[in-house]
Parts: sequence; structure tokens; C-alpha cells
Amino acid sequence: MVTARLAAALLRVAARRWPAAIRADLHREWAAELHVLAESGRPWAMLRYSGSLALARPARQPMTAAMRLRQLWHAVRLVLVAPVAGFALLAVSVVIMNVVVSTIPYGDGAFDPMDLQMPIVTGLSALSALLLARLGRRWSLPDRPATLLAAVTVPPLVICVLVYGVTNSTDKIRLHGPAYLLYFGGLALLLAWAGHRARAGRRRSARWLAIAGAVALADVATMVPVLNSPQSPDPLGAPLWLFVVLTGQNLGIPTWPDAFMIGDVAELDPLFYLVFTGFALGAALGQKVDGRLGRQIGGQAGEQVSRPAGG
Amino acid sequence: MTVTTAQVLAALLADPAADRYGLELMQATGLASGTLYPILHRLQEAGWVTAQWEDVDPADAGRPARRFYRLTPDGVERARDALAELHRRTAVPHPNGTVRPAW
Repeated sequence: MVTARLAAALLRVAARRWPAAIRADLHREWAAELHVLAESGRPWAMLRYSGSLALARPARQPMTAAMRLRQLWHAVRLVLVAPVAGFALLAVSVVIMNVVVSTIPYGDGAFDPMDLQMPIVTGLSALSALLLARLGRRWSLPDRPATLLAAVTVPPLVICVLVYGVTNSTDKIRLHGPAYLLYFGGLALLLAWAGHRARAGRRRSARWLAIAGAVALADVATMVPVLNSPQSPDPLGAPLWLFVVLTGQNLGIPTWPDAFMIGDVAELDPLFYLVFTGFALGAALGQKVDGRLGRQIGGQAGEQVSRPAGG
Repeated sequence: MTVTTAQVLAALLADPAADRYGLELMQATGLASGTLYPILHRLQEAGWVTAQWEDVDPADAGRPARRFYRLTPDGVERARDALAELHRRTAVPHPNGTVRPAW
């Protein structure tokens, strides 16, 4: 049984390395051959057969110059265009917010146009995240989940750090850097787990659990710079700090100095998380092809290989 | 053409009308699965080899359907030509004036 499971796992690894269009057929064929070996009671032959496939270099279609260029563009748009677009959309959101707020006159009542700043910029950033999620779905790399995870988490991390790097704010990099590492590192792990769940056929729950996990991660990451800053707001309200920044409301914590100070220290971090996570979620969990193939491969492995080995 | 590809073609040419499974071809050539299947894939892409699923009901047979390989009519001709060409290229002159393969 152990041999059969190991051989089936190796076949799954081998199949994933082949082009998506022929992957399911190849896996079906290999599983059938493995079944023949299992029925004849040849465990070592099973391991040799599946191990060789898992280690060998798969056949690749010959690449023309146009295909190479297209492949390069796919990498560039994922690693460079998407995060820069995310940052640009966030910058545009801030500009629009400033224009809108500056056109609203101050009244005599309690209404302060400045209170609209964060709701407007958060709303626009949420729209940007939705737009980027659709883009991520189209630009995804369903055949290469590990590469995809690195591509949707490392470049945003670099951009967030660069934002402070170009302004020579080393103190701010020291303050915000650990939060970015925590958030984007955690997001990579979260999406790896959710992607595994989605490929097993539980796509809907994978998506919602990933969103809930990303909110929890963002909540914790928002606490990091605030707690590391010289100011000392009451930590009892820490779970609310993310939402205080995003809504611009005090949500029950003291308006002065806590709510003001939290927004001042966290700056744009929650908006970075919102915008870049939209693209990452769309790319990692938006596409459908990989899940279908994953189910086929997983199902065949369980049905065809494990059963006849018998021991 | 590589030696391993020539081995696969030679195995298929041994009986061009026969359907050959992957395991059979591995035994006939001595190649590992990780070497054989990429070659079969490339030969299919080139139109030399065709692959068909076995026509069995897995429930009745008690096993999943296997895929078998066979040279196409064009593949038979081209494989023979390619092996003959390989044979000619690898032949070395013999002292008595004839040629023989280097292997």
C-alpha cells in the first residue's frame, strides 16, 4: 500500500511537469501501466517506473522566437506590470480622493470633509483590487503554482519597500519592513494551502478561506509597525486597527491620540495589502483549468493505483 | 536522431502492425520510462507514431484501459529511412574495402 501511494504521488509530480493539454491523458496512461505492475506484484518496478518519470525532463514543444517572446511577456506582466499597475491604481485613488475632498466646502456643522478621505480611498482601492483580481485570473500561470505564488507576493513586497527606499526613509523601512515580510510571506503560505484545497475540488471554500485568512494577516501586519513605533496606543484595541485605518473611523477606540496615531503610523500599509491581494487571489485561485486537472489526476491515482497493490 | 530514439523506432519496426504498450517498449528497448515517454511524445508530434486507447470496459476488465502505440504508415517508411541513414553514417570502412557499423 505504501509503495502504491508513493508511486501514485510520483506520477502526480511527473504529470504536473508536462504541458497542461496532454497532462491528464498521460497520467491516465501511466496509472494504467502502474496498475499492470501492481497486479504482477512488482513494487520496485512500480517505484522505478514512476520515479523515472518524476525525475526525467519532460518533452517540450519546440519554441519559436514568437513563443519565447510571448513567454517573456507573460513573466514580465506578472512580475512587473501587475505590481506597478497596483501601485499606480492606488496612487490614482489617492489623487481622486484629494480632488473630491478639496471640492467639498467646510460647513458650520459637525461634518468634516476630511472624514471622507479614507472611505473614498478605501472604496477606490477595493474597486482596484477587484479589477486586479480579474486581471490576475487572466494572467495566471495554472501550470506552475509555485512560480505563481512567488510572482504574486515577492514583487509587491519589493515595491512596498521601494516606496520608502526611494525617499531614503530607512527608519520607515525598519518600521514597516517586518510587517510586509509577515504579510506577503504569510500570504504565499496561505495561497499555497488554498490552491491545494482548490485543486482538490473545494474551490469555493478555498476562495473564502483565503480571503478570511488575508484579512486576518492584514490585521496582524497592521499591528506590527504601530507596536514597534515609539507611540504606545492601547493594545487592547489592536484587532480593530486595520479597520480604523481603512474606514477612518475610531470604531470605539479613543479618537485622540490612538486612532489618529494608528493612521499616522500605518500610513498606506492596509491599502497596499488590499490592492496587491486582489491580484494575488485572482491569479492563484481565479482560474479553473488546474483544479479540474488536479481532480482528474488525484482521482485516478486513488482509484487505479492504490487498490491493486494490496500491501 | 539520438541512439535512444533509434532504439524505440527499431522496437516499433520489429513488428510495425503490432500495438505496443509503454511497458512493452521499455522491456524491448531497455529504456527507463522517463526516457521512453518523451521520445514517444516527440514521435507522435512528428506524425511517425500514433497512440490509441485500448477498447476495454475497465469494469469488465478489472483494470484501466491502456494506451498503445503503433507506427503510422508514413512513420514506417521514415523510420526505416532514418535507421538506414543512421546505419550508413555510423559505418566505418573495413580494411578489405567494405563498410560496417561502428557499433
